[in-house]
Amino acid sequence: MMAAVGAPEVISQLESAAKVLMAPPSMVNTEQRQHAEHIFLSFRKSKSPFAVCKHILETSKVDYVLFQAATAVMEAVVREWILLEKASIESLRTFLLTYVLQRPNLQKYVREQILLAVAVIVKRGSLDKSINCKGIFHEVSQLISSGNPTVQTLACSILTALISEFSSSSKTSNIGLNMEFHGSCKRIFQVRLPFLPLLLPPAPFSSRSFFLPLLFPPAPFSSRSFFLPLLFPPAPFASRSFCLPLLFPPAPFSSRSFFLPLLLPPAPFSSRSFFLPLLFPPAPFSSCSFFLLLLFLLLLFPPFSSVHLTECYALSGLVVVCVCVDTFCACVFVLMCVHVQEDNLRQIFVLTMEVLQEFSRRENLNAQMSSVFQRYLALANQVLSWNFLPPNHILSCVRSVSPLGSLGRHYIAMFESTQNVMLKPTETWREALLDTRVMDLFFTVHIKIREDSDMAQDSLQCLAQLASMHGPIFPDESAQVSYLAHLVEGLLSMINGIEIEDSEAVGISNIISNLISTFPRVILTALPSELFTSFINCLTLLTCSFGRSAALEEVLDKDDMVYMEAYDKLLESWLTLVQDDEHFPRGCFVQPAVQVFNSYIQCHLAAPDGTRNLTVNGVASHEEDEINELQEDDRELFSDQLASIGMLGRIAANHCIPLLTSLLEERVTRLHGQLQRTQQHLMNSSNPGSVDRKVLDDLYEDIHWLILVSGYLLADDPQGETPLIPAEVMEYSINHSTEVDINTTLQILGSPGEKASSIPGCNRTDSVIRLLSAVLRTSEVESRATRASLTELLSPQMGKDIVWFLKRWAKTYLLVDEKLYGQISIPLSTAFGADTEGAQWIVGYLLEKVINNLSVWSSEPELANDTVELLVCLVEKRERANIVVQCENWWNLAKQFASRSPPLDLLSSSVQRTLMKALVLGGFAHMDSDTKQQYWTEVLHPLQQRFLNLINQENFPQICQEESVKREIVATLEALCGIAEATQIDNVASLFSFLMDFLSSCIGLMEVYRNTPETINLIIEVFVEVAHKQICYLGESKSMKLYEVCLTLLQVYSKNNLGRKRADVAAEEDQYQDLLLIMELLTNLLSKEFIDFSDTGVDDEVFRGQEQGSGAAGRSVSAADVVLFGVNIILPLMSQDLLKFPSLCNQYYKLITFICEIFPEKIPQLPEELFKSLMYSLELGMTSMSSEVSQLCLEALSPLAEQCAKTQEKDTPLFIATRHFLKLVFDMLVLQKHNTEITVAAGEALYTLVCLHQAEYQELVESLLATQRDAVIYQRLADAFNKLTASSTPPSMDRKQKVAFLKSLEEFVSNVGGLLCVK
Amino acid sequence: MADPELDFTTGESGASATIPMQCSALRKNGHVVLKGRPCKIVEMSTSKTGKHGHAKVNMVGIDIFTNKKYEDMCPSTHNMDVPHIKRNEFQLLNITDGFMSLMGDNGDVREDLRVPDSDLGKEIEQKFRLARCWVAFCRITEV
Repeated sequence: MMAAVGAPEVISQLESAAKVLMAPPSMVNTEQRQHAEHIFLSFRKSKSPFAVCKHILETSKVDYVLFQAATAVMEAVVREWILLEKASIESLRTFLLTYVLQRPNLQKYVREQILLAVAVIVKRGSLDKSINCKGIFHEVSQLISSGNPTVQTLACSILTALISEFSSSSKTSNIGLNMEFHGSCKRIFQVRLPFLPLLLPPAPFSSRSFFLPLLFPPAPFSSRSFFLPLLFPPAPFASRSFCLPLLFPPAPFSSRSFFLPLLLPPAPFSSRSFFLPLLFPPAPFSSCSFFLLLLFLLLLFPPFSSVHLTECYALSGLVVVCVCVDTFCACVFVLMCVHVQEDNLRQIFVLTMEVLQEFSRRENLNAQMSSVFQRYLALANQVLSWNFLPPNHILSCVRSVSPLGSLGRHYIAMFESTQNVMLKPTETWREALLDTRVMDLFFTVHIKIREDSDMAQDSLQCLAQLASMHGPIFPDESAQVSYLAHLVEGLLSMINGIEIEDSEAVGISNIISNLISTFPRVILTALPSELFTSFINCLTLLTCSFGRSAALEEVLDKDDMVYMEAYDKLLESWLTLVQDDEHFPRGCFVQPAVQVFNSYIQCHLAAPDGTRNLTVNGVASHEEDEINELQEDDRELFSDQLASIGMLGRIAANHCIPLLTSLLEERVTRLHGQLQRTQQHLMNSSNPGSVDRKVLDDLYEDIHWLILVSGYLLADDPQGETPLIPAEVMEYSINHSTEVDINTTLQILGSPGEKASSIPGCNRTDSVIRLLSAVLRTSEVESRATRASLTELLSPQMGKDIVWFLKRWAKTYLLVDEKLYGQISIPLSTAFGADTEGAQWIVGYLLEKVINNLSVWSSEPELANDTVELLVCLVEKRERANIVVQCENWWNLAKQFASRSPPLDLLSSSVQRTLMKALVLGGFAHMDSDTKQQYWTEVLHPLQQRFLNLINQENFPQICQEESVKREIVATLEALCGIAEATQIDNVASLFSFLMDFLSSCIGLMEVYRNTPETINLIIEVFVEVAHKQICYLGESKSMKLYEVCLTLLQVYSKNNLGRKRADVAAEEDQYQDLLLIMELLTNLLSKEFIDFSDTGVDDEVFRGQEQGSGAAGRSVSAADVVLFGVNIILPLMSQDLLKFPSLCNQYYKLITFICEIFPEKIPQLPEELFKSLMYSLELGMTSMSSEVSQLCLEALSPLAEQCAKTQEKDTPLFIATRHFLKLVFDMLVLQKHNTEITVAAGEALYTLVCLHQAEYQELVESLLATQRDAVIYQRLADAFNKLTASSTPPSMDRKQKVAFLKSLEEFVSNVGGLLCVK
Repeated sequence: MADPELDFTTGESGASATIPMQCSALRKNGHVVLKGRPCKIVEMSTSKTGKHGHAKVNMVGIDIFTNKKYEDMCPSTHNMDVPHIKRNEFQLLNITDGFMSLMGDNGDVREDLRVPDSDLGKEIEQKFRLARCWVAFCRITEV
């Protein structure tokens, strides 16, 4: 339509539109802007705009219009390719290229866009061979050899444009190419497939950004990988002359600018493409994090459709290329892509080596030379960091294993997601890389340039890559040994010859860490022993020194913690080294471990023993920052470091355990004294604020670290496994057991109130037990201080450390099971074994500690939480619980909690819940039946009694709003949640019946508290918890009871909330929370369909037969009823506003899809209103929510259509609804630009719908064809539709046919998608 | 039931209107008196000064009458006042001159409350005219 108007008018129209678009927001209104956008959009869609565009390009002075013209040409060329004369395409291409060449002053984004158009033409032409790629490259190489920097830059831009075009398919769709193109690519791919091995060298494609989209077999993009060999046949140009100019781009050229134009237009692109908003999200959102996010998504949600995955990778690759890389990388990228063949990569490497060699010989480098040097170094780094993929035949094996390619994809995803690429070159690299001169060169280079921190990073990274070399490149072990020996020698002489700069720390630690993790133990041990020893010594010194520098960084609060990073790396390497140390000479790590351990302790202790908080010149700095609850505790924050140090401590247990003990005992004594002095001071002074906390805080910090290290040394904390006493600790204790006096040991253990050194014979104690008793002494000092009302002076942090340690310790050592160990230490089994006094005493002591903490520290939520966790640890194992329930204290605790009086009622609600959980768990310990009866009478019955007394009072409705009553109710509800949390398979029966009584009463509460949203919320939460923890164990009749009570709950909720208005601000949030909880409840109930541990399988089957036969016979309510009723409640409350809460929206649609998939037979029976709103929800989700949601909705359609087919009733509401959905899905797939990731889901839905409504489908097809006026397009469309259904005529609900349909659909979409987008 | 003050935004009844509660036992969505105003707690977090310091509780509350936002911080061992919040339900009998006749659960009728000057108020009037049966809720607080 645009072409019909005269060119000058078009130009002026476009120019004024551009003016509007570019105007500041204050100048134009939204409508004007939208109108202007619309002008450009329709301009780009206009038919054959070539002449107009040429005219625009030649005459217009407005850059944005030029840009749009280039875009229009690009889109139109692809759109109308088959209708265009080859010659006119060729002339168009020449025109564009000449145009750019003649206008060196074009805006960068315009120039890039025009070149992109050229690239697209070349790419499209390469498909049907209408454009000779060789010709293009000939032209480009001529440009490069012209010697004119501007022209060379241009050449570089052309190459970049080409590469971008070929590398990432999502990019092509962004600029308006359509699926048709991908289809064609795929066809070429299929044709070429047999020649694949010929075209592809074993493992060449690896530039991350480049090959990601290439290697996914099932997706259309895979074809792209075959273009490169096709496009770049082995070097039509001398590689050297070609590379050099590229390496030194004369003018600043940035790949970023390439994307600038995409950023500029405010709307037109985003309306067309789903990807742009993703790529350039409105909020400041770094592309790197986007990339990470994508990777994350991919790892988290593997079952995405293949297309989706590919698309994501393509995208992430794109982001990396486009945004992260700078000028130079872009050039290297071009180079590497041109030289995708491995031979060429090696050639680049050899060439680089030559240049580096040359440079390294020079005495002085001027600034210009060194920048050239740097580029070469970076290039070397790129080559060495090349991710050599496993040979293609391995990948194809993987592919053949999983026909859909999902496994292969995951494999590659895994391969790619490793951040550090290890160097694994093929045999062909032997000559290049095993030459010792290569490594020497890098060491020499590093020494030469190490003052320049940027370059030093590259050279160290090169060395780190060399240190990670492995794989077929080594012909045999001896080659590997001599390579490693040479590397270690070079490394040692480098480290010894220099004083390490800050900027080198991370690089050097990378070399070491790569070396240790890559080379197998046998190779390491095969090193000459002297060399190995000096390496270990050097590593030890380096670790200690980095550790000190890291501590210094912390004091100075530096932003960039390079030494901390380096220290982490080295400690990790130590862990790798010592973890299977039997390969190494015995004891060879003991001395190093002592040194590293000592230095760690030293850095974490205050002066005079340590250097904590000391700056270089010995000045102590001490600042108290405000710390919020989000900040991780040291034990989590430094868990990796502590694990390594703990491991080293075990290696050198002889030294480390006594060291920790004496340091801790000494500090505890000092703490005790200091607290006493402070108490005196407080008694004599009226001003409590005058206490100097500095001394105390220093002691607390020392004790904090000593306890953390002790905890990590003595025990591990494996999730879900039974933790064992570390072998080294056990061995240590056994080795010394002959010198140990067990009675003295027990005496020291049993007297935490006394100074250890005051006990006679205290030197003859078991050190492992002594370390525990040192912690117990700390704990005792703390407890006594609280009794002396000095709580104010204590450190809650230290309190946390103590209970954390005790829990970790108790899990491993308390009631140690001798059967689990080959050899057991007598002191340990005597002190903590089953049926020992020691164990009983410890349990009693721990219990007392817990009780004391809960009453003293109720105001410290984290400490109280760690404390109840210790309690749970004591009772969750039956053996420990048996002892616990024998303690009087336990019963006192239970009674006290049941009486709901201070101090326990001051605890935060989450702590109270966990406490209730612990009390219930304890109730299942072994007791005689009377005792058990009594226990429950004291723990659970008061809860019930108080509750019943309260709610059965006649005036309850009147007093229910009184604060004390409300608190009682809330406490009961919290306790119920705790009881539900304590559910285990062996107690579910009794807990369920106990809780059921409450659940019915809770429904009454729903009525009473209908105007108190926070209480309603808590009541629903109780139901959620019960369903969550118990439903999977419940047999049929019990689940039924639960369903019934949940149904009633929902009924009451809906009665009270429908049509209700609330004026306060929190109303929406309250409602949001209610709905979220209800959906959680429904999902929990539904989960019974997937996870069922109850052993009533037979009954269930019987029951299902009844259900289908005679309706609801025998069972009053089913999960389906509850869930559907729940949905009935949710639907009317689910306002569009609420759906804006993403979590709520997703949960809602997940639920709906679940229902459709699990109970399709229930859907037609729904009440009309509910049915309608369900269908409306589906439609809404399909059309106007996120793609994830629309995928869910599409997935819900197939089961519905199948249900219809099963019943064979026409004119049911469901039948009519599915007809409507047929049209929706049809339009979505055929007419709208849809997101490729939903193609599969939409295809499946379409197929089942087509089966159901064949006639309507024919109508749709015919009416679509009828609108086509262009005969060529008409024919192509008609053919495509025929082909689409050819393999599945007549369509039937048969899996085979469905698969065939899906396959042809993919091609169909590729074929017609583009045609129909032309309007 | 104590006779509730008519003007509830400045209610004052003389009886103990609050009970003390340790900070740690307060909960989100619960109520607390912040800067002398009865508030619903919408945000609660803890912090401490220095690694070995004691916990402090930071609270953000919204005045249940005025919807104004208040913030406060206090050591978690301290007690805060929790207001007695009483929710009563009334049935709307009639609307005369912008005042509502409301009947409580015990049958007492009060006619001292205006129809709120808001969308809600308009809706109450409209629905009342339509159905002549509309349940209104209001909160009376003894502070």
